[in-house]
Amino acid sequence: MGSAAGLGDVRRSVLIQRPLVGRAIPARQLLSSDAWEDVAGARLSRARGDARRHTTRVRILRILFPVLGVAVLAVMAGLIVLFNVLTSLGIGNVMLTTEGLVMDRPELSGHDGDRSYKVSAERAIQRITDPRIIDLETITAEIVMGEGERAAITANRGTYNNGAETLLLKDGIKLDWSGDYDAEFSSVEVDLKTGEVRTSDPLVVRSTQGDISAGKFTYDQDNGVVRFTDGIKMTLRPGATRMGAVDTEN
Amino acid sequence: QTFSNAFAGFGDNDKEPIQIEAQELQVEDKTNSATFSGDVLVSQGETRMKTQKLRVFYDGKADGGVQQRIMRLEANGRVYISSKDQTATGDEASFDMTRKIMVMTGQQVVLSQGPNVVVGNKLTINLETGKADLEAPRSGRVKVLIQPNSLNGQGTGTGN
Repeated sequence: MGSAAGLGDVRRSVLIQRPLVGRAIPARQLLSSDAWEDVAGARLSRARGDARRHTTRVRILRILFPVLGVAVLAVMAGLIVLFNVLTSLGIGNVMLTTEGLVMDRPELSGHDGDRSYKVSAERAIQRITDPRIIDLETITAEIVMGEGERAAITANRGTYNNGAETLLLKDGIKLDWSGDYDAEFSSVEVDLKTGEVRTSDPLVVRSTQGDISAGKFTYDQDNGVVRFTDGIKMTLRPGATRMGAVDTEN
Repeated sequence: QTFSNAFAGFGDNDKEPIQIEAQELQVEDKTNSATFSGDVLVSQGETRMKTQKLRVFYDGKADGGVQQRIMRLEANGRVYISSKDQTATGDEASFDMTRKIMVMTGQQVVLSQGPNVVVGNKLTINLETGKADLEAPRSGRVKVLIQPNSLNGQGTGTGN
């Protein structure tokens, strides 16, 4: 077939060459018999149906695709925002539950100058209502204050406020301070920025040579002031020397 | 010298634990001091001290232990010290732990042992020997009241 064939020739040749697998239609029979009219008619109506369905489909898709695109974009943006909030939290795997976004073994950390803190937990639940508030379970926190001053805190439950960078711990809190003291609180609030620790519930601080129990406690790290208030009892064991430090008696 | 060395070793006795009760305690790393305030009661063995405010100065060298070398104690506000049968009351008292000297001052420093009473306004006690010197620089006169037979009833009457 030359390339200059008219439209008719092209349509006829297309029909003849249609690859009917296993059933060849002789070109002569297609062209001459009245079967042509009903075959063509049926095909015509089917084609018209196809066309109509096609146009409606196109019309739907013309609306659907942009909307779909925008939706996907929104979801992607949302996830990115969510994840960069979460990445600062160093999240293991994340599940969405009714309580909020549950994260497994998250780690939060931050530092400024020589002071740094690292808080890790078994589980963290980020509240849907306020993503800055994260409830934590079985928490271990480590605060380095510089020059050998370190506090290691463990607690069963707590709340980390990402905005104010405070950590409120409750229930079964143990605090070990540079290996010299250890303290038991029923609740304690740690300001991770300034390193201030405070509680308004009774506490006990123990060390080899003495214990203090008090109603309230605040430790202001910046100007190095520890205040026990609301009634204190202190026992000093002068005889008990510190591990290693010899008590030179003159 | 009629008073026993009841005060000997006060604050320097390493055997018995010291109990301190107060309303508040503030520890300041910067000045290496700890201030107890609000009805402070310090007790060690048979020795008691009551005061409104007690500042403890320790030397910062020793590392973070709760009880480093205590260098000086300053108590003020109705200071009352009692040990065995002796009591001393005054307005302020300061204990110099390195020289083991306690100086109590006040309008009326009263040192009593049993029924005997001595009044002045400056009492200095050597914590090691228990020797007590009472002076009255302000009024110039020390008042001493000794019950006649109270001394011979005393086994350890004279200090060393």
